[in-house]
Amino acid sequence: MKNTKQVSWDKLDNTALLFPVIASESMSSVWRISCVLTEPVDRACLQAAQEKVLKSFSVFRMRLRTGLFWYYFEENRRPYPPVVEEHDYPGSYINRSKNNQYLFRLTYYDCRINLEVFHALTDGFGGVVFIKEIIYQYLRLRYPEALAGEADKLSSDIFLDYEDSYIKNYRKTGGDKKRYKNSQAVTLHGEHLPDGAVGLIEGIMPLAELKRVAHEKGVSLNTLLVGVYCYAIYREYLGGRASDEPVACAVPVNLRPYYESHTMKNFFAIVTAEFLPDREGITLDEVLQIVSDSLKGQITKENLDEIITYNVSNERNLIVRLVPLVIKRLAVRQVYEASSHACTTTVTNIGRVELREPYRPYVRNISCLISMSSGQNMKAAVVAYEDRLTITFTSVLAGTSVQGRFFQTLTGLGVHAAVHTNGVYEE
Amino acid sequence: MNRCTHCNVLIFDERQVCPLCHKVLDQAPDHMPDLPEDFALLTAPYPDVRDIKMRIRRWMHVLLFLLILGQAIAVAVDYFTTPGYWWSIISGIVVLYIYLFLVYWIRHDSGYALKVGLLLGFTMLLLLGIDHFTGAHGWALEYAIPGLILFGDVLVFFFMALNRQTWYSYTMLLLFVMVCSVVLLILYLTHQVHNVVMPVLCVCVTGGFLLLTVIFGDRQMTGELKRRFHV
Repeated sequence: MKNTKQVSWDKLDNTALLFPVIASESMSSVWRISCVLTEPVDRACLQAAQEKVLKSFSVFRMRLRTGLFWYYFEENRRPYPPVVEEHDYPGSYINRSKNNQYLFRLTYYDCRINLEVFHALTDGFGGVVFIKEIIYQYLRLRYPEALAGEADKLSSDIFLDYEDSYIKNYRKTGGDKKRYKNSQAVTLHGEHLPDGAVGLIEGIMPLAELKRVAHEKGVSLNTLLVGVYCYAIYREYLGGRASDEPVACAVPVNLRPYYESHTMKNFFAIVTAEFLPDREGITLDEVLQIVSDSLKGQITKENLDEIITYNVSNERNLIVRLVPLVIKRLAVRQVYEASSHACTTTVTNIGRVELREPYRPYVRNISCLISMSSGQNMKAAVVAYEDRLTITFTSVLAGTSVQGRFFQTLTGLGVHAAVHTNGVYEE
Repeated sequence: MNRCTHCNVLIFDERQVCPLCHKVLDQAPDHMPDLPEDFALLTAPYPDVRDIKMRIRRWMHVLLFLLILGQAIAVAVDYFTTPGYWWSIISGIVVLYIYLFLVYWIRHDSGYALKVGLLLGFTMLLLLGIDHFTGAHGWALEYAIPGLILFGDVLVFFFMALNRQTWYSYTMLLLFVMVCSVVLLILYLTHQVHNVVMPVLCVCVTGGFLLLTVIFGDRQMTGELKRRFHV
């Protein structure tokens, strides 16, 4: 049927404004969430599931357009992107012209389904909602008899809310003190993997054991992981020596619980766990304490208010708005490059993913990962599913000693761990 | 499943050494009482994509080699046949232009409208450069660029007809062609261009085309302009 309806469009949310400017082959701004099923994936069923679910998720049916002053999203009326077998490095650049202009892709390999999303569309929260519905739909199509009792519709506990929560929660005053950090932090250098490869090391650990260790150390689970990672960098990259530059770990914070939002668009802020190795022989407990204090001081409603206000006030400034996009791009890239070396790495934690009861037996595990960005050659992403936690390190560096120290430290504390790679680390 | 006794981790991969510390791995016991039974099944293999990436790069290298070879032959022919007149410099610029354009067209993921707009813009610059280098006779501004502008109109019409559902998405390309036509007219009025026919023809054809899209485009056209120019 010919569609003559006026095309719908939307502005990019505050965070999304950055990603089209900085995205490139080497810095894709793509994140991924994967589900390992009990049986090999049926491509036709997955394609059918995508066709059905995508109709309800307008945020994923957008294409990115270039205006004179801003980028914007426009409803994409092209055929949905084909579901294909995974054939590239995880989190690689989404070439829009080869993907019917869609900003996400659904791939599969063996028993795993991967949803890869350009970050301008949505963050981990939105992605989790979407992939859960895809999985439910896929399983209903794949096992119609076993799931005959399940209604063939979206889950009733989700919100298809597309508000710009940054704008909604922006207050005109209070953000003047905030500035983007541009002081230099430790940068992880080293020999790169050949031919632009991206290395992936996935570690699966029992959640209860990690919680026990976190409890013993008196920190939260997320702080434990960030702290052990910082400690691993200190021990392996800095050789346990003092440094003038801090080990700074960017930690994205989901803002929805703080502002009662259910938006499917991006709604997160970045805080930085910072630890300055001012002497030799710093212990894990000391690092954990420093990281814990650093995060506690920043994850407060007042500080998050300030971050939102500072970011949004830039976007709303009339002079900024009237600057043509070509010049904005240059300025944004400049600011981004200047501030990108302020962080050594990033650890994102999308929390616990829970699937509805009839579907749980079909999904063995869930993992996620984030792509590289300027100045950060290694990153980590965390997700919990059922009784286990999966941390995925992505890196363009050939060395794996930091990841090794991370797991050695945790196993030394009595945590069991199993590790898997994507095969790019040569024997 | 294997086990690294140094890192004290299980390794899912089928490999001999630990990816974390490079110690030779041991066979993990079949039953591990501390771990859930399905622990060995929690992950799926990854494809080996190195060959695919290598193949794409190899094609680009072949293309670059062929273009360099072609240019080397042009330089040799130039040297032996017309030693006083270095036309091979022009062919060199054209070869470079073709290579950069192909790299951009293949690798960059912007839409056709932007790619065509850039192609038209850079081709205009290339024509101006060649005209300047070959004696500044002014043929680029008098004939070649107006011809390119009219070709741009044809391209926009072709794209709109081909992609009727989203014809309005080529409005910016049409506006770009219109701006080029107006600049050409200004150049005529300031006596930089001497032939009146081509500038007027360009403005009339492109302007008429634009007017038609505004009149018949109705809300779709105004919607497109609103989106493109939103502040």
